[in-house]
Amino acid sequence: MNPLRLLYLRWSVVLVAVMGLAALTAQHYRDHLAGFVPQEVTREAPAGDIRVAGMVQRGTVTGNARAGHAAFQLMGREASLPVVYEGPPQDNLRAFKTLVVIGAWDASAGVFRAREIGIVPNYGFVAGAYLVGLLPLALLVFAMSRRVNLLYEDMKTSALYQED
Amino acid sequence: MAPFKTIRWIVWKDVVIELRSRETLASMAFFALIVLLIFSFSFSMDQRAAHEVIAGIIWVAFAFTGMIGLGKSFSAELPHDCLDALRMAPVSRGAIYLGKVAANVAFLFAVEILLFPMLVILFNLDVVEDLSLLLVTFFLATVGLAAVGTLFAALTVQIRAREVMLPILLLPMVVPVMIAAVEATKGALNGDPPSLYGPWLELLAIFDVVLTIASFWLFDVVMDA
Amino acid sequence: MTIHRVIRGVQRYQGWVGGGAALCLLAGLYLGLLGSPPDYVQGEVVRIMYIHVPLAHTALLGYTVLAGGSVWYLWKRDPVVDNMCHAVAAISACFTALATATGMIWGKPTWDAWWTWDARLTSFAVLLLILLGYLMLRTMIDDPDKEARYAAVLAILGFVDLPIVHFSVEWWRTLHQPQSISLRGVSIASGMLAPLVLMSLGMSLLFSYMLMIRTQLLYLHRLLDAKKGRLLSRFHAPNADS
Repeated sequence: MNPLRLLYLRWSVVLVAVMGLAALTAQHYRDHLAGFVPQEVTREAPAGDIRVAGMVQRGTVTGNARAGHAAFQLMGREASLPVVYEGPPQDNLRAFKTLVVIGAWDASAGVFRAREIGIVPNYGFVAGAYLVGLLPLALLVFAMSRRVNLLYEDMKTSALYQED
Repeated sequence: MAPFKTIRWIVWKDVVIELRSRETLASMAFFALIVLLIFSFSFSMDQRAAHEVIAGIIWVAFAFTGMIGLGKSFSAELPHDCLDALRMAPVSRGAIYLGKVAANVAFLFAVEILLFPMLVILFNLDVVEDLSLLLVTFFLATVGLAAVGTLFAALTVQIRAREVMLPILLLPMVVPVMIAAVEATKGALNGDPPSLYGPWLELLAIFDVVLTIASFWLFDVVMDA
Repeated sequence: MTIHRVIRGVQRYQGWVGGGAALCLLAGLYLGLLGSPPDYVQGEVVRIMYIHVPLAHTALLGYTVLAGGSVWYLWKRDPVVDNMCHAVAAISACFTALATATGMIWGKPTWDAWWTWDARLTSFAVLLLILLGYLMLRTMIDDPDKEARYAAVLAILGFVDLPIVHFSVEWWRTLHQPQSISLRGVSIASGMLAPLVLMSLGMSLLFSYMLMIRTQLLYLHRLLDAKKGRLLSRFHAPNADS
């Protein structure tokens, strides 16, 4: 087989593997991205487990999140949402911190019952870092391998220089 | 003591050439003066602000001036194939290196001493109490700069675009020397107790020793025909 | 036309190294992106570590190889070793630049700044400058023998200089802002170890693979120049039975 064609074949395998991995990753994180903002929760009152992202309002935190129970107001752009947290010990709960709370909206009591608190993921930075780190390397390796193959071809075909 | 004799002759040769032409010293001093003037125009500063940045300005000026002097020390050997003569001379290459370093240190140090009163006037510095420690700082940093600089000057003089390549290669290498020199100078100018900035002087001395030894061994490779 | 035996060895083994690199990197990426939990303190941003730290390690490994190769060249004066040094410098510069870039991307959400005068960042910037100076020096000399010697001198002096740079910058920073932002407090959780090790191994293998490819590239360039009579070198003479 032509070595250059073999090179392209090998790289397509790598490309397919990377694309598969990227698709799998995107799939994995899609669930984490779906979420609500506080004003939507109070207006639409969605049922079931949801994720709400917002900022902790200053001076509203009562209880002790490190002991596993706390109450606070989660600020959105237009409205804020009262949250009651019962769950594993947490130390991410601070004023002005942007958080994601996971739990259910309790319409009768008018509070959001959270059982998990997470920090807002920065997928953009992660994806950017992986692209910046891997893409130039891959392009460089590909260009170099191709060039080497071409040079071997050139070596085979070129005639030896003879002094006149 | 043959090596010491070689060193002495190299220094003597360079000093005599310099005294006859006065090219390098004059151009270096003039260049450094211009750099200092430009800095004093671009920062309109009172005495307190001056204390913060003056050490940096001094060393930027000295480093750039050093580039001129170091480059000259080997490009002056190019006419009449003096470099080849030096290379063929039946003396140890290490002695040639040490002689060149000594001559370069002498020139740079002379320019620094000449410029220092100018600095005191231009930037309204208080007269420094610890003048001796400041001079030690100047001397140690100059040795560090010249140790690497002489090697790179010998290297770049034999390639294309030598005026550009010397600073490009030299300045990243002397980053530690510059940091230590700026910190020690700042301490001395602010009148800090010597125990505060003394460690930087020790560090400078260590850098000098390490860089001189490494350059000393590598100079042999650079001078190979 | 005879090919140097080092290059023949490279031809034989490069496929294994490249395949190993691809496997390790894919497994490391899978573990790093999907198989490991987000960090307790840093959250998802910790995943940047799995690419940044291996890149940085490999850049330093590359500089060590460069210094070792330079000493080897000055000792044996084998032009293939010089080709290897030239290749390593370019690859190492690439890794250094990418490590700095990913470090900056990690720094933005963590420290809220793209760039800080942190000791490591500063040392890496100086390292990158030295490597770029090295590559530039290489283009300024016509005689291949002289080019190899001068480049080796620069590489060795840079290698001596690097710990000094790191030490002085670290001391400088700690004097200015004690207890500054640092990675030292972050301990490695058990779930982080596997992707980190796999990615480090993969990056080192990828580095070796790139080194093999690029050394061949530079060697073939010279050999082809000699074959076509464009270069009159005593080392790459046609029909030389090296």
